[in-house]
Amino acid sequence: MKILMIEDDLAIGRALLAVFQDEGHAVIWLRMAEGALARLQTEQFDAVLLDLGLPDGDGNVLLKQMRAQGLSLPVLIMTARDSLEDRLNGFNTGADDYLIKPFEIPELLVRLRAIVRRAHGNAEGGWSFGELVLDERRMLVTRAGAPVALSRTEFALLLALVKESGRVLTRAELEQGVLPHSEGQTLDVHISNLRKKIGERLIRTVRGVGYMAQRPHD
Amino acid sequence: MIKSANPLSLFRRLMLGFSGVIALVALAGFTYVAIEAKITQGARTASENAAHAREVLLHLAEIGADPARIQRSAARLEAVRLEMFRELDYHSRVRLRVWQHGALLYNSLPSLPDVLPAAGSPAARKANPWAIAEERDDASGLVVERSHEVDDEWMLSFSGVSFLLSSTIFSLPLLLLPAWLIVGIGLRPLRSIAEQIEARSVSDLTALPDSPYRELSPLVDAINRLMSRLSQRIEREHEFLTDAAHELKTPLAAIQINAHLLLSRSVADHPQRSAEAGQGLREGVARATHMVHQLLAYERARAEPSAEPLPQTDLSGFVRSRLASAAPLAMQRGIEIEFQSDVDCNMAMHVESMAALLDNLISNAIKYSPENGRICVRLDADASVDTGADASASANANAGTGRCRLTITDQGPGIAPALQQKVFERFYRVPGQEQSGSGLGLAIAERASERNHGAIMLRAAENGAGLKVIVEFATP
Repeated sequence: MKILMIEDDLAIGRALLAVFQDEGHAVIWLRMAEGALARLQTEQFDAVLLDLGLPDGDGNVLLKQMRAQGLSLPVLIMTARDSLEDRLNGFNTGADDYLIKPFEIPELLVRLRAIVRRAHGNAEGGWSFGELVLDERRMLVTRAGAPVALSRTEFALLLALVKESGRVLTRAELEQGVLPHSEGQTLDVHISNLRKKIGERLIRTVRGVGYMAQRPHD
Repeated sequence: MIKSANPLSLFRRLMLGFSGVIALVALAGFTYVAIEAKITQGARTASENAAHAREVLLHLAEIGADPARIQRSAARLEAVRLEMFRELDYHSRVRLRVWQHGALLYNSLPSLPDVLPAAGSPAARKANPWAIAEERDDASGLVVERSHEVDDEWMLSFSGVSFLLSSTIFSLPLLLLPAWLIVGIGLRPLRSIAEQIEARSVSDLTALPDSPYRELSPLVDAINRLMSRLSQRIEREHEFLTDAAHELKTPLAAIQINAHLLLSRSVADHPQRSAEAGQGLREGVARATHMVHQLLAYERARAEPSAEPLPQTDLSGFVRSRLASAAPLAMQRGIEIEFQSDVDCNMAMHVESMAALLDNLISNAIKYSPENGRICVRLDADASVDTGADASASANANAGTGRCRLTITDQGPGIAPALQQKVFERFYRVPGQEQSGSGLGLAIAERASERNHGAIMLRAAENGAGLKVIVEFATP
């Protein structure tokens, strides 16, 4: 993975550089917002790790410029600003994820992988999840290589859950995002049908809250 | 007297008020005198005029039937009168007319119209009224008519007004100078309070001495109450800062010790010890991090309510989203979370503090739940309240019409009834437990529920072990 890290603090930058090198990622480290846009336009990166409080301006401004120029690669903001307003502002500007300093290194790596996977999955249209492989474009699912016949709604549900695996999607999120025209019990019915086809244990229920796709080994 | 830069001044206000009263009294006096004089003038002119008319008639009746002499005599009498008026500087006009056997013999002012406006007639409103007297002598056939213009214009002329107001104008300095002194002396206690406050150092928040003046003591009392609130608040903040710094020392000490261990020579040869020290370092950092987050959350939950109205938010959906983000953590420990909600509680919600409230209660429940335990979260909207003897709940009992009640029940060790108030104190931690924590979770929850017009209370779970946290929100 090739990462552009924009972070002005020397201690944090050095430590992160070491971590990424250990993980086998290629990192370009900039300590200012200046030059970042030019770099992004000439080189191919998988993700941007962006600090907000930069000596020559706000990271949010850089992010806005990036999005305005059509650079759609995933951006993970890491900042000490932890108020709700700051976080919402970050997402509204076009960040893919928001990590608050101080953070655990494993969490940073997991989230970084997740946003890159999301972006790549979208680009290739394919998602793999345990034994399942989902082809987003052709709406096909295979389980251990064998095709599984899913209805359109079931496929949409599964895709939504798999894209956000490890996160609980609330009933409201699923109903509004996937089943905009169904009501009440039908979500549970669809999930129940889905489970019969792909196995009981891949989708976990949080009763009264929602559902989560869980890898068998998680 | 008081700072001249001030746009408003009590002193000026009092002085202006006083001058206003003087002016008003002078004006009323002047009006009274003017009206009084006008009435007297009219009456006096009328009676003088009648007497003069009779006098003229008596003169002329002596002459008998000699029109030429009568004319001369009347003209001479008029000349005498004119002379007197000129000497006295009177400007009133007088018309004398004499008839004998119906024929007009004499008219002193032929230019005037035949009928003059009599006093009290409608025509007199536009012009000066005239006092008119008519005397007749049947023996000589003489009729004498004398008309005297009633002149009250003088009253309104410059000399009249200045005559009448001169006493007031001359007495003005004599009135205003003492007033200036009295008002200045009267306002002195106010200035002395201002000077006392001015002279204080920033840290001096002790009460001002009571004012002996009835008018000033409410001001002094109000200032003292403000001072006392301020000093309490500063005291609290000071305590909080000290406590917070102190609480951070413990994880920092753990970090320091483990960092020392990691760098020491003895550990280098023992990978097991090195791993332990590294783990200890991590845990210390995690504790310090958690503490910093909680301190910030505590501060934010307390922040004073803003002026803008809070958005109406569906509590049920909000609880669901907070549970969704906490659920993976619970699942890792095999803890099952269940949410039961029959209602959408729409309420004016301060989203950030509500999130802090829910996150703290949920993470407490997860933290203290046994492996494979169960956490039940319920939301109902009802009016029946089993507050028991809880004062914090009854404080909000009248706050609104409906209420939403959130209940979070876990299967953890619970909190002994004796400690159920104590745990809301910041940095207090129930003794003898292994879970690490900031000691701020419930303090944050209490503040955050207050900010959302809620009251929080702790109960034992119905079926044996476990804690039941109830938050009641008034939803006006």
